[in-house]
Formats: sequence, structure tokens, C-alpha cells
Amino acid sequence: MLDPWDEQYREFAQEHQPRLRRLAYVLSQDWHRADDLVQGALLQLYRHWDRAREARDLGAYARTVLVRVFLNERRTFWARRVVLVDQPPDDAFTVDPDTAGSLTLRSALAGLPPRQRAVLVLRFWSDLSVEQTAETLNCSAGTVKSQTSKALASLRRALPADHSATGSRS
Amino acid sequence: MDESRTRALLAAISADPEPPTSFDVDRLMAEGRRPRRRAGWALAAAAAVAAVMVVVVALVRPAGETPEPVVSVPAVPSPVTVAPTGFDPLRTRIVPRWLPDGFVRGRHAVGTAGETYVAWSEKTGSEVSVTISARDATPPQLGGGNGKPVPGPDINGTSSTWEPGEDGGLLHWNWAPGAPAVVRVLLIEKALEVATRVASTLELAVEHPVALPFTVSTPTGLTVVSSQLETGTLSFNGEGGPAHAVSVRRFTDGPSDPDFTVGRAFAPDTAVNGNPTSVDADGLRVLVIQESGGEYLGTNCQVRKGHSIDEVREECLRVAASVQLVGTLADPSTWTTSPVRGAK
Repeated sequence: MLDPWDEQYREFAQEHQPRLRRLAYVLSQDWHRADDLVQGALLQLYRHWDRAREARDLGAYARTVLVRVFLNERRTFWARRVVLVDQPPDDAFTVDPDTAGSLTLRSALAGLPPRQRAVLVLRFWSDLSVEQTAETLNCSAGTVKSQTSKALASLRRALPADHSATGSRS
Repeated sequence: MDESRTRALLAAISADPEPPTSFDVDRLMAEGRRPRRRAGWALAAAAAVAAVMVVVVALVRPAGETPEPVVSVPAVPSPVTVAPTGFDPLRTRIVPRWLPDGFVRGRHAVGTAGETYVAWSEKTGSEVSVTISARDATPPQLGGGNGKPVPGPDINGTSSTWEPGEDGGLLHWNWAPGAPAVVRVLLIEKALEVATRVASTLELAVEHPVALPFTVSTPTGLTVVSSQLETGTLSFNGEGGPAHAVSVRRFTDGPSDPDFTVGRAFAPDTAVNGNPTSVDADGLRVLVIQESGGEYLGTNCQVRKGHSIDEVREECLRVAASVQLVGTLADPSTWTTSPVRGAK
């Protein structure tokens, strides 16, 4: 028989894990790393469940924890894929095989500093407002705007000339 | 690149096929109930940090506005006249002779195309990374700049370009003729000054053998593609065999080590070389963890397309069984510089 708090946590974790996993994957572009991020975030939530359960929007709270785990995790090398290999892993080619532009953009996204990547994902995938993004990242709205601008500029520069000229492949 | 296209890119990434997950909320909760342990490696790292800080205190005046050297260094590093066209993943070149005050930890990763060294400040979150690439190689595409490079200072007689960023930037130059290098600094003031000093004091002329705390037989059809010194990790990749990539690591903090698999309690279900061993498989990888004398050995094997999980499990267990521990994990001076057995 589980403690009622544990029961509540279990229900929350099972319900939100798929969505958190997807967010972690969009941030990291690596399923193994995404799993580690989600487990890290959920573990933190469990250890502080007495506080977390009081959050007004527990889903948003969990998302914030996940993003902060992601931002703090960037130096844990074991979680990283090998980045200096000559030959990418097989599964790097399982998506969008038709377009070098897409792979280039994915690579450029992965090369952004983690905070810029998080800004783009929160604003344009999670559909958070500038203010919500700032709250999640614990920074100012102005910083979110400038980071967004810089990140978009970096992606723009990564586009092959023919793609950036049209800008409308998608 | 605009918002709509960024949304499309993120949506496309989000739509990638999702592999099965090994998420187990009960195991995670069990892990959460355990008292948090002080990691052996963390203690070792703390001791190393303390030792370095003693050196810093002994060698350096208290730092003011200008960062001071971590170690005593010659004024000009040895020049490199010819860079290799490919790197040996078992040899490292980057020796930072100066890092900003407070930067007392760093990690090397060496691959066939180049080498990266990353150091950071725990206090400020600032980061400095150095990447050197092989001759005629395309340099890595790194974020952190504004895309508007300007001429930079000479780096020991070689011209450079500086790409400033909001709170850092990228300094590009050639560490040898035709061989690109970049120093990236993030979240740091006087970014160009710091990047220039880091770049101009790098020692890159001498190759140092990578030492690791184990030896391992070469996995079927693979070759060494990278090593990570400070985490004691060795990775293989290649065209043959049921696994397309294999990594081996020896560590002390158990599977709760966030570098390994966060939140999963160690649950041995078999034995390898007489050691309690857990084997996890999730369709894309097989993860074998052995426990021996309070230490752990992880072998991570990624499934090659067209091969069954059973094939990879067998191969992963074979590789795990071939690992022989060398020296004391906490003392790198006891590790071996010949970690790969059966290398071609």
C-alpha cells in the first residue's frame, strides 16, 4: 500500500512522463539522453514532492525542472553522444533523409548554446510566451528576446545558400 | 530562418519515431527514497580541486580584475608545423596552460576528427572550450557567436577571427597550417581577452597517451573512435558487428550517477565474471552494469539496424566480460595507456 503522497506522485509521473520525454528529446535530439533527463527531473520532483505538489501548475513546474536539469547537465559527458566521430550512428539517418537542409538545421540547433536551444524550444515548441519562458529559465523577458534573436540568426546562418534564399522549404 | 520555420523544424524533430522507454516509476521512487550518497568520484574531484587550489594559491597572487594563471607556464608554447589528417583517439594533445581564475576542472574528449577540452567554473557557470580539428577538416559548427566575425588578434603569429556573442564568443585560428581551432567562451566577461589568452598559451605540440582504468577487447567489427579521459570512458564505432557503437566506463557512484542512468536502482539479474550484473535493453541499446568491490563497470551497446536485441545482448555481455580492471580508479597514475586489447 503506497503512501498517499507516493500514490499522487506515481500518478503524476506516469501521466506526464511521455510529454516530458518528448520535450527532453526536442531539447537534446537524443532518446537516451532524453530518458536520462526525464528521470533526473522526475527524481528531483520526487525528492521535493512535498513542495512540488503545492505548485499551482504542476505540469509547468515539472517542465521547468526538466529544462533546468537539461541546462545543468551539459557537462556530463557520459550522456553525450560521441561528437567527433567520422561516421554518425545509423539512427542519425532515420529521419528526413530527403533533405540536407533539415539535417544541417538539426545539427545547427544541436550546436546552439543550451540556453538558446531551450529558449527556442520553449517558445516555438511548447508555445510559451516570452514571460513564461523567462520564468522557466529564471531570466528577464529581454534576455529571452535577445536569446531568441541570436538563436534564430545562428540557424539562419547554418542554412545552405539555396535554402536560406527561399526560406520556405517547410 | 523565421519563427514559422523554427516551429516546423521543432515539430519535425518532435515527430521522430519514439523508441520504447525503460522508465519504471517504482524503481525511480525507490531511488528517490535512498539517502543521497557522496559520490566517490565527487570526493576525488573535490580533493583534486582542493589540490589545484592549493597550487593556485601557492603560485598566483590573489586575482583581481585580470584572471591569473592556474599553473606556471612558459611564455610561448611550442609551435606545431604539421597537423595530422586524423587523430588517434587514444592520444591527446590539448594542454591548457592558462585558464581564468576559478576554472579548476576540465575534461578531454578525443575522436578521430579532433579533440575537445572543456573547462568551467562551478561558481559562475562560465565555460571555456577548446576544439582542434585535423588538417583540412571542416571545423565544428558551434553556437555562441553573432555570426559577424571580425579580425582577431594574432595567436602566436597566426591570424585569427573573433565572433562575439552576447556573453562570450568564438575565437577561430589555425593551430597548424590548414588545421582549424576554436576557443569558445560562454558567460564570461572580457571574453576576447580570455579567449586570446587561452588560445595563445595552449600547448598542442606533444601527444600524450590516454590512460584508462581498464583494458577491454575490441568489440566485433568496431574500432576505437573516442576516449574521455577524466570520466574514464572508451567508445568504439564501426561498420561490422551487431552493435554499431559500444562505450565502456568504470565509475563509483553506481547507476544513480547522473552521468550514467539517473534514477535507476542497481538490480542485478545475472553475473559476469562472478560479479552481480544488471542487463537493461530498450530496443535501441543494451546496457550492462557490473558491480565489483563497490565500483561499477558500464558497457553500453547500441543496436545496429537489422540485428536483434538478443545478438547485441550476447555481444555486449561478451565485451563486458572481457574488461579487466587496472589500477585504482581514484589514482590515474595507476591506469594503463594500453586499454584496448586485440586492436588492429
